Amino acid sequence: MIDISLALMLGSAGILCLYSSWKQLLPAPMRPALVGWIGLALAGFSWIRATGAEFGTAFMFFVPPLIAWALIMRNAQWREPLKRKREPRDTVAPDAPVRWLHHCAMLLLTVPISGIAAVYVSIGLASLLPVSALSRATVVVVIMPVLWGCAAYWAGTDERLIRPAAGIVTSGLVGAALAYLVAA
Amino acid sequence: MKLSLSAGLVKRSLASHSWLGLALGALMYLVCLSGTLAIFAPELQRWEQPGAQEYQQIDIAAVERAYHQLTAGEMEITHHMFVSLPSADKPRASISNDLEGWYLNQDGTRGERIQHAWTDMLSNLHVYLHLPMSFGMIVVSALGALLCGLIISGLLAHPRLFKDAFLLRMGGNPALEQADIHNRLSVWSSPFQLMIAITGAYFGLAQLMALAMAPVFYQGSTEKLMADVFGEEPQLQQELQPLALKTAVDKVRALAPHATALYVTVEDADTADQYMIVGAQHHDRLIYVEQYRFDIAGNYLDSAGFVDGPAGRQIAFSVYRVHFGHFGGFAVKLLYGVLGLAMTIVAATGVNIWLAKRKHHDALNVLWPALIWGCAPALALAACTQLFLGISATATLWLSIAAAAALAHRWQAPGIIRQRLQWAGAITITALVMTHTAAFGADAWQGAAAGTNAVLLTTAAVLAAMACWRREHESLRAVESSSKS
Repeated sequence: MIDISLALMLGSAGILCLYSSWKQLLPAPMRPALVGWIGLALAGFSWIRATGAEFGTAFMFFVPPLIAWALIMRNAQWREPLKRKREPRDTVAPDAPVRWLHHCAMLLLTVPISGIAAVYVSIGLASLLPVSALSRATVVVVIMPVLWGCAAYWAGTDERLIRPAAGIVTSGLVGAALAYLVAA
Repeated sequence: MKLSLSAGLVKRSLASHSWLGLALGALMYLVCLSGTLAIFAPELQRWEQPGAQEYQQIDIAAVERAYHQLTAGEMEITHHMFVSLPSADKPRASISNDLEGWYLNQDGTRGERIQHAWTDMLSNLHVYLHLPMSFGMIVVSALGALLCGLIISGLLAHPRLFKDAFLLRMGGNPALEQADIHNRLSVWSSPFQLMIAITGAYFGLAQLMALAMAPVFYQGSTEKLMADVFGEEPQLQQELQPLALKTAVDKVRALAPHATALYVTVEDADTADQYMIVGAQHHDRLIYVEQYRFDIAGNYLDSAGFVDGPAGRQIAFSVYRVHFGHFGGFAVKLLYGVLGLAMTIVAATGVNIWLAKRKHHDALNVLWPALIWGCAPALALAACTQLFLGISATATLWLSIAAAAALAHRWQAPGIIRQRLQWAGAITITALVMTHTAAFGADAWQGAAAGTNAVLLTTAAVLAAMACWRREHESLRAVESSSKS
């Protein structure tokens, strides 16, 4: 119980330090951002001491948002509604067929192609690790969604789809080649 | 602290974030909303059947007798048989097969037939989006992976990440208000969202990944991979005899005195190679349970090794509790509820920002608030029809959402759609609680049912308050626009 109270106090102090630093409430040399991060790290340590490594790690990351949101709500600025004209009712022409083709190609690239590439890049990377097959499989399961997300992000950053498409497909092929070479 | 992201990178990241968010917004909203509610699935199941007896302890001999009586009589023995034991989360015992089940009274006699179709509908919406099972699961898991992309692009699209970390401007410019809500909720809870994304992707994609991993890591054998992750199935040849359930549970209590036996399953039931698994929860661990395996006479065979086996096996069996917040008691569920609600709001406000910035008005302006605010009355209506009329909750849910969309098309103004659907939510939820009370009497206001009804009434009050606030807001606008003209 003492450790949990300590974790909550350190977490709150850490968030308060970040708040005073990022809101520039103090002169520049006295802004305690680093102290805030240290406070949050110590709060994490206290969570782990109180509830064990598994639960403690979860609490370390999941509790600070509540403290931050409480501060945000306390300092929210409430403004008068903006004077707006009557809501616009004009209809617009749908996107041109070329634009729809682009959206379809994006969907194809971000979902199946990125997904398959992410699987093989993950397997390729995991196959290089000097650990058991089960540990490699676990690494694949954990990193694959992140790599898929990265590929989907990449696909959306470039108006000319061909560049991310080529990059993602090549990465997937390299990953697959690496995986099967190591397996062989 | 200042993040030095180039203007070009921010612009490209924002474009990517917008595209992904708009493509996935509606599905993400449904998955997040249903997932937030599914955290409380055990409590909702108890609310659906508040009349079933509740207790923390039951004599295992009585459960064993009930199992033999049920399987000798009206309950068919299917491939899997399940015996659920009382726990803090769900203080009821039950016996079920692959098709049906019954709760048990504390003395072991048969209680109510298990019927929590509304909670099942909610869970299925979260897990499959009510699509065909395997396909739906893959779609939802792909959403998990793409959520990783949204988190990454969102962080990179935000050059004032730290400077604005505590800024919330309500009222004023609607686009700015929505952006502040979206950014403040998403940035602070991004570690939680990342965890939900990765664990969510695991559920539906692990099987598919196994097909690609087996040739590389397990010489082409997915069976070997599965055995490595979940432990090998025991190979037995036994004569058929009554299940020694009590012996097995007693042995688990001796083997792991600090663990709580949660369930017994019979695998390959009624065959020569059938065996029992006793799932026992170790309270200080994230693994769902350790599985202790027994032959049908109650002789201990082995454990699956989730509690002390290889790290990969422990991680695989921790995913469920981490994803749904079923660890560390009810306080953690509440914490997950708040963080899940934040994710739901992030999904809704993401599209709101885009709509508020647009200079024109089309069908999306009316369909989006219809989906966002139509879900509350649709879910409440689905509960009413399922619980009290026996009409499919799934059908009612989608018909109600379709009706909300049709009405929204008729009403046109997003402000009016929002307000009327908020009223509809408040009224249907209140009606649901009143009908629940009328149907179940005092049972409706005891234990988990009382808590659920109280939360429902609070939700109805919040929706009504929001509708009233919106009405003031909208009438102010109306006065302004009429004075102008």
